[in-house]
Amino acid sequence: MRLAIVVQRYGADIVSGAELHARNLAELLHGPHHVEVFTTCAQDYVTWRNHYPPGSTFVGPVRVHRFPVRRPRDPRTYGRWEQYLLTHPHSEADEYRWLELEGPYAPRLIEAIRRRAADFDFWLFFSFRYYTTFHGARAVPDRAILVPTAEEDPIIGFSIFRRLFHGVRGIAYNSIEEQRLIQGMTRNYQVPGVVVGIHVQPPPEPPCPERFRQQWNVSEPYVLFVGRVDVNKGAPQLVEMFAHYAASRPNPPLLVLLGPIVDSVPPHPRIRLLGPVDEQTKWDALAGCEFLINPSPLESLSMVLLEAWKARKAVLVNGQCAVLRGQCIRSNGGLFYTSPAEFHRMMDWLLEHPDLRQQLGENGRAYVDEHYRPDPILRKYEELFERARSVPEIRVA
Amino acid sequence: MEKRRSGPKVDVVQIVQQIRRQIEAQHTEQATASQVRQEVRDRLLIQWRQLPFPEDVKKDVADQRLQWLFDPDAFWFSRRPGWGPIINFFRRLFRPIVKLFFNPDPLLHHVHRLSYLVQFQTQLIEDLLVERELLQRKPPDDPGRPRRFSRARSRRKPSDRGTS
Repeated sequence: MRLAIVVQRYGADIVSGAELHARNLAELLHGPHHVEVFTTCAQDYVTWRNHYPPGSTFVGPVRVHRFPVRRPRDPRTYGRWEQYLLTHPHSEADEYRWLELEGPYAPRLIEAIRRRAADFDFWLFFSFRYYTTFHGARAVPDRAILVPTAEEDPIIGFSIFRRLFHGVRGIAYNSIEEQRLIQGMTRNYQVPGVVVGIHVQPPPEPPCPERFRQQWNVSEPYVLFVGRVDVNKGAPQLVEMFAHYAASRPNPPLLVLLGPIVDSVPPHPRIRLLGPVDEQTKWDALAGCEFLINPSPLESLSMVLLEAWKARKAVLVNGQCAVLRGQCIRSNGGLFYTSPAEFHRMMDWLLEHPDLRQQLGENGRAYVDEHYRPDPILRKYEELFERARSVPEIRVA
Repeated sequence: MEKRRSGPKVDVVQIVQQIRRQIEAQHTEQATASQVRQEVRDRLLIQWRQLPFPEDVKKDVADQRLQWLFDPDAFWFSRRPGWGPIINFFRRLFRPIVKLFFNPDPLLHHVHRLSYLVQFQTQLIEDLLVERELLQRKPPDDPGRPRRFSRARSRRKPSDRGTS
């Protein structure tokens, strides 16, 4: 089968969220199928400024076609417009304008999709909220498979997205919670959907916690955060809660934060902000931590949670995020807090019960092995393609 | 992916519920503690008002919830509206002459420290009373309740009096 993947950014150096998901999937599907990727020249997700040269190239084994972003995003205008739409009655035309401001505004990419529509059996579009996905999927509705990566974000209620969620051949959801959210909002029950997720890539080398400890001079026990140090990921809130926790305990662990620093956090003697690190360092850090903390209030899957479980580590997550809470309950692999008081207690509980912590890690590992290995992921995509073929022709409204 | 994994020894929902119950119990305990503290303060104030002190003194200290503190500047400083700044000017001007005859500073410092000490003692008495009250309210079979407390109560029998 010939498959095309359309995603807002793509590159070996882009290691977060939906883009990493798209790359892992492209490389997974590349074995049994022919896969090509259509993307923009952007690297920065805030401005979408062109970074990579336009044209065709290879990233790993996969052929990638890059198209320039015609107009970079102005975050202030975009933010103001989004805020206005969320708080005022508005028209669909207003939402289309928002979508252009959101970007990445790459009309040549959409033209290419339209031109090459028949070259591929299916087009997989990543992240529902972007210009490339919305207009790309509407250019090839009969071959479009959507991977929404949707969170509990109020923009999902925009009426234009109702068209998108109804106007594709199939949807690959990341979690049951995401499926419930989208189906509840848009009533698109007739569109074939499968809860898939993505497999966890193994570490480049066997993880070595000692290497991490020596490299970063971390000699004490530590708990770990991996991801963008960003308000949207809950990192400043975590730092604040942890500072209170550390001040009220005689012997608190260190909190180590790995990932690009978007929002600054105040310095603290028990908090180590290490910035972005390579894949191997991440796995080394995971292998040596007491447990992983994911404080994000909005997630559609959380790959780092799966990676922590792959490393047999327990997790502590923000229970206000339905996806994270659901994953912990289904796997029996971690605890979830909904208030600072619960965070403090659960930190204590996890630190004081190493045996049960290990048990949580083992449960998580078994869950990942069962659901997030390449074979089940491939099987579910095959099933989705099969079901998508049987859907009658889609008319774009 | 619908199915829920149940590990052999651990159930996260149960753990979370257990932790939430602990937090709830702690909140109830804290609420009780602050309620008891208020009761103790009220009782202390009643005792204070029953003392044979001048009414204005009792009112003054009671208004400050027994947390009265002596300010050494009050000795030299006038807050009288209108004339206050002029009086303060002359007091500052003539203070060296006053200190030629006697030096009130050591006395002021001592009174200032004493007022801190009194405040500390008041706080200590309050804390001890709160602690005693909380212990007394614990059920007799609570492991946190000191055994001496139970014995002290059981000894309060008329027949025990006067025997040793």
